[in-house]
Amino acid sequence: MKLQMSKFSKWASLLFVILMVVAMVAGCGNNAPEVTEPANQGGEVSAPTEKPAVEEPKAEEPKAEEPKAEEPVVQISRPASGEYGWLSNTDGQFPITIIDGSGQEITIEEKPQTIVSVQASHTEISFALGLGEQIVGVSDYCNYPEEALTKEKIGAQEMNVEKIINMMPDLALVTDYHYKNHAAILDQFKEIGINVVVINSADSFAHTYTTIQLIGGVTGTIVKADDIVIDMQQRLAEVIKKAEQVTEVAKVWVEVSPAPDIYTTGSGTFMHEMLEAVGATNAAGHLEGWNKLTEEEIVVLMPDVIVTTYGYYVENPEDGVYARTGWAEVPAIKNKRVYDVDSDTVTRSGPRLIDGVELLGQIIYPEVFK
Amino acid sequence: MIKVERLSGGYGKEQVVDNVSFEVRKGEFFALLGPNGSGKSTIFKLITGVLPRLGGEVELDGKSMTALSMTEKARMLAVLTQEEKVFFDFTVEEIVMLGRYPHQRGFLKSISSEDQAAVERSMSICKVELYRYKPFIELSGGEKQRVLLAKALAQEPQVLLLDEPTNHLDIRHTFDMLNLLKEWQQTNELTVFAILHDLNVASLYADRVALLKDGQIIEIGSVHILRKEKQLEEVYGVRVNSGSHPEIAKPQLFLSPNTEEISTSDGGFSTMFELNRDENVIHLRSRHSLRTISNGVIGEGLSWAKHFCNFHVDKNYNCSDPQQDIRNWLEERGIPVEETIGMMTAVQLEDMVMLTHEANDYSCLAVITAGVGNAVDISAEAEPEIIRRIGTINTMLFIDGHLTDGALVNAMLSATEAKTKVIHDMHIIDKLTGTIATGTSTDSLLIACTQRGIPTPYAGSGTVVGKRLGQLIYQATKQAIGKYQKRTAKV
Amino acid sequence: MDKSSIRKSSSNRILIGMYIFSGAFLFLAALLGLLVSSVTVPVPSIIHIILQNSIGLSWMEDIPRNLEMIIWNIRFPRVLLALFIGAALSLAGAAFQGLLRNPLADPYTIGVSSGASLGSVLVLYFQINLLGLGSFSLPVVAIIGGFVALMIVFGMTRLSNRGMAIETIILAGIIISAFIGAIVSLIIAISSQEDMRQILYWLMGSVGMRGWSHLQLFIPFFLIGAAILLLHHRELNALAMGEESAQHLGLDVKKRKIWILVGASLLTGASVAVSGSIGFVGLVIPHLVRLITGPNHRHVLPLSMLTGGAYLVLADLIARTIIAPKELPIGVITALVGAPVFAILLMRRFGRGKS
Repeated sequence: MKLQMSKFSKWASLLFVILMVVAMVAGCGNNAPEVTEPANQGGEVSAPTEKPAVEEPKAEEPKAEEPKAEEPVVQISRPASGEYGWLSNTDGQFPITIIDGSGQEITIEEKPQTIVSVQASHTEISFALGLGEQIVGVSDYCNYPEEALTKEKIGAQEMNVEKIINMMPDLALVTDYHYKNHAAILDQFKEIGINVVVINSADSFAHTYTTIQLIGGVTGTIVKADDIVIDMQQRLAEVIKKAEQVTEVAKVWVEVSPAPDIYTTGSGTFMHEMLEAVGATNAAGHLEGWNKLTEEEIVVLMPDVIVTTYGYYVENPEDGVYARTGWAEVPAIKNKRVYDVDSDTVTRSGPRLIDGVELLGQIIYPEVFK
Repeated sequence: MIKVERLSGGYGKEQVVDNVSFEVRKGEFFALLGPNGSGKSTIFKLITGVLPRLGGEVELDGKSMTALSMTEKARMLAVLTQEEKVFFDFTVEEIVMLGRYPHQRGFLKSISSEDQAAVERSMSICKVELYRYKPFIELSGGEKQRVLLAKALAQEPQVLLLDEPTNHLDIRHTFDMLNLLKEWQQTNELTVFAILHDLNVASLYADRVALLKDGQIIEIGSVHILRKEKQLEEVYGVRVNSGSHPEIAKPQLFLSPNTEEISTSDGGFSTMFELNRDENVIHLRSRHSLRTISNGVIGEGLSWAKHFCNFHVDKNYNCSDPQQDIRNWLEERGIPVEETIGMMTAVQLEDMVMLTHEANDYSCLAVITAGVGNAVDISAEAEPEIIRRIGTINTMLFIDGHLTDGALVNAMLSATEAKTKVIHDMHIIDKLTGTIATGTSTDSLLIACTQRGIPTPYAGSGTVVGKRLGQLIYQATKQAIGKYQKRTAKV
Repeated sequence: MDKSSIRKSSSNRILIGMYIFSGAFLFLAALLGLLVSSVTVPVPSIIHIILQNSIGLSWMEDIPRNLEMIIWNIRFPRVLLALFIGAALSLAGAAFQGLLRNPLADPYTIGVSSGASLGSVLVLYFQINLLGLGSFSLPVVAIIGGFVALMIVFGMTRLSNRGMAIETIILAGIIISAFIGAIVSLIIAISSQEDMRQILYWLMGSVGMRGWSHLQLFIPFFLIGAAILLLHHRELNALAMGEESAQHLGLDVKKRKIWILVGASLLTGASVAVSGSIGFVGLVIPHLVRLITGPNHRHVLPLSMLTGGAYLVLADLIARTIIAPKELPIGVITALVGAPVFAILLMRRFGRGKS
């Protein structure tokens, strides 16, 4: 019996190992470049080139409101001293002192010439800020813009520390995850002279604006950053304004992973904010964060529209939803309103978020949004 | 050497062994006997310390066992149980070397020359040096046990405890092992305490034994207490007959299973037999094996037989190897030798006499050939003559009854009295001395019993069976001699 | 007699050869681990950096600081960690196989690694920062978890069997492992996708992204555990014939068993705490060693350490170079290599007929 048991548990754990590997490989891949809807290049600014208010701290300059619907209110807000994202100066001059995700004051002496980014969103933002040349290392998952794919890969959550140290970039943009789990490594970076800036993960538009401005600040591209932020704010305001025209509010169910483990985005996520902006109701709005629901629970919600974001690794996600048994009465199925959107534009805290919102608007209320 | 006083204990709280006391003397071979569940293994484990004692004391060479450290104990006492399973490929030498563990001292505990010497010695005594580098698991059962014995002996113990060490060994290997043990016991004054399940093996090797039943000692003493059949029957619950080993002065036991009763035949005792006769042999075959006592050429002494043959030989028969001759003749006829009592006579087999006495008890059947050519007066002064002439009285007597060994001897006495009386009454003369003969020089007698019914130890002239057989033999012998005389008178 | 002494001395020679070979193998593996990586550093620089930082010997000028950091702060401790953990797991595995008298035993059988895994997973899920230890929280909590699991297993065993029978310990270990495994699965199920990836990755095992501090945390446990086990080589031999037999030879079986278990658990718990559960090392290496030395623990234990250390260094080397710049979890390499090797060993052993 002894023998039998041990042998069984050995084979069981081998099986477990293999399953884990498969799960990991399946769960992580997002390397295929996804080109879906032609999204606005996040760098284009269509707002009037008015310099944003520079006075600190919370300088709010309400623009003169005009009856024209093309010019909604935008404001540039800066975090206060001591808060995450605070910048000592916003004139683009160096040295600059900031407060990053580590809560410490970090001083960047000179404008960084070489930059390494360990997060896809940071990479996107950097490219949008025109730093394509300075970027020398990107994460394994950085897939936008296309130029990012040509850059040297330096790991992701598990960084290839040797490579980064070998590159000796002037600036390393990392995340709060790295700070929490590998602070010692970040110290090693700093020790040999790499500037490490910890960018907290963002879960709302406001946080995203802070992120963009923070990156702009430490790279000397604060002007461009502010432009992007203003553009995003303006477009968002436009969307919200258009949403006022919505008469029949649609209930939208969002899926970020396919059956059998269907996850959705509750409140406190980008998706939720976006749905509210376009005037729709998040079917999972009563839940917080990411949640897993069973098919029965979803059917009960009777959503009008279903949005999936996993088309980049599942083929024909819409068909998969339509094929579900027992869903025939769900309005979204009856009216054939299941759509897949590019995951990156709706989950990545970068400039393309606004593209995601506009896309959602077009899908959900095509009559209202162009 | 080992002193056990009021030992009690068992598994958990259950008391299997109660208040057991005994002593094993230095240098003796002590066997613990008893049926399954009598507590032998429990006592063993209580002594070795595997089971905790609930009461009582065990002393080893005068010191209490509890006072000894595990190492001290291991230096004096080695334990050999039934074969152990080993999962790794240890070589024989490595296994034997394990026995040196209690002697290896020091922090580094490397193998000293003493260790090596002890290992060599015990391996050579147990004749396992040949297997020195062989993996232990590849050996046969008997070889493994010898290796384990070598390991125990490498411990250089003064006492060796064995728990049914030959349980699964064949006879040859059992004896090999116990012989080695005995040798070491005698040369090194090793005290041996063994649980043996085979009473006969124990009898052959032990000096003293203890008989155990239900956790209590029934008796301790020399192996001769094994002659107490009643006691053994009570302890083991099986019918036991105690006998003697033909060559060694130790008791051996014959155990009786429950056999089917011999079915009574309706037609009477004689219908249990089948008689085939031709000019060369009288072949009487009984339906069942009969208990025999005889001085036949084949099957002499106490035995069991189903076939009873009286072979005719020529008067000039050269009897250099009568046993082999009869064997051959039996084989030719397809009669199993081991179940046959065989006799020879020069008398013509036509002159055989068969008489029956049927009765409710002790039916008898006599088959006799008689020739008195070399009648001899056994009491007369004369040199015993070896020259054979025609003549021998071969008596086969079959009794439907249960006779003990003593009764069988008694029956022979009765038969002989009858024979002698016939010779006397018929005035047969010893040609040499001129006196009345008492018999011929080559008489053979067979008494065979069915062993049915209540055993009787008597078959003398004062008993029914004795008188009956005596009369039957008298009649039959008289007739047989008569026939012989008639034939020889014609010639 | 003559013949036997010749054989004896030649087998001695084989043993000495084995030790030399293993030591050399270990050294070469370590060297290879230092030389080969995703970033190429010239060999003379490597040697210089190591010698300079360890014994202060210096002859080159102007080695860039970042190269020095790569070699001394990242690569060297990584190779050393792989070496020590490989040695620890193999030694613990050999001890477990000897103690449990079962060739299929390995360090994870009695639940210590499950406890350590649970501790680690809890830290990852709840983002626990113990007493400001930062990223150190994880190994510390993990070691505590390992010992708590061991205590529970011991406790369970004592309650049902005062003699601490090995079979009972194994059963209790399996039960506790299964239970803890279920809790870990629960945590994985309720964690977000990102957390889940992180947890799974950790569970696979890795010696990367650690540093001198992890090594320093590990070494004391390693030294104590290894010392205990190496000193018990004779007891492990004696136990090979069964516990009763060992008791008759004069072993205080219960005491020795506990010592061996504690020593092996120290090694296992600390290894899992620092590097996750790397499997098939403690299981396979002792068997390979036994193929050559036989089952005498006097040699099996130290040689397992040497061989295991080399093996894990090489496994880590493969893990970080085979799909560079991405890294495979080291547990995958050891499983992919270890499982077939083990299967072959099993077939050879039982294919021999008598077993």
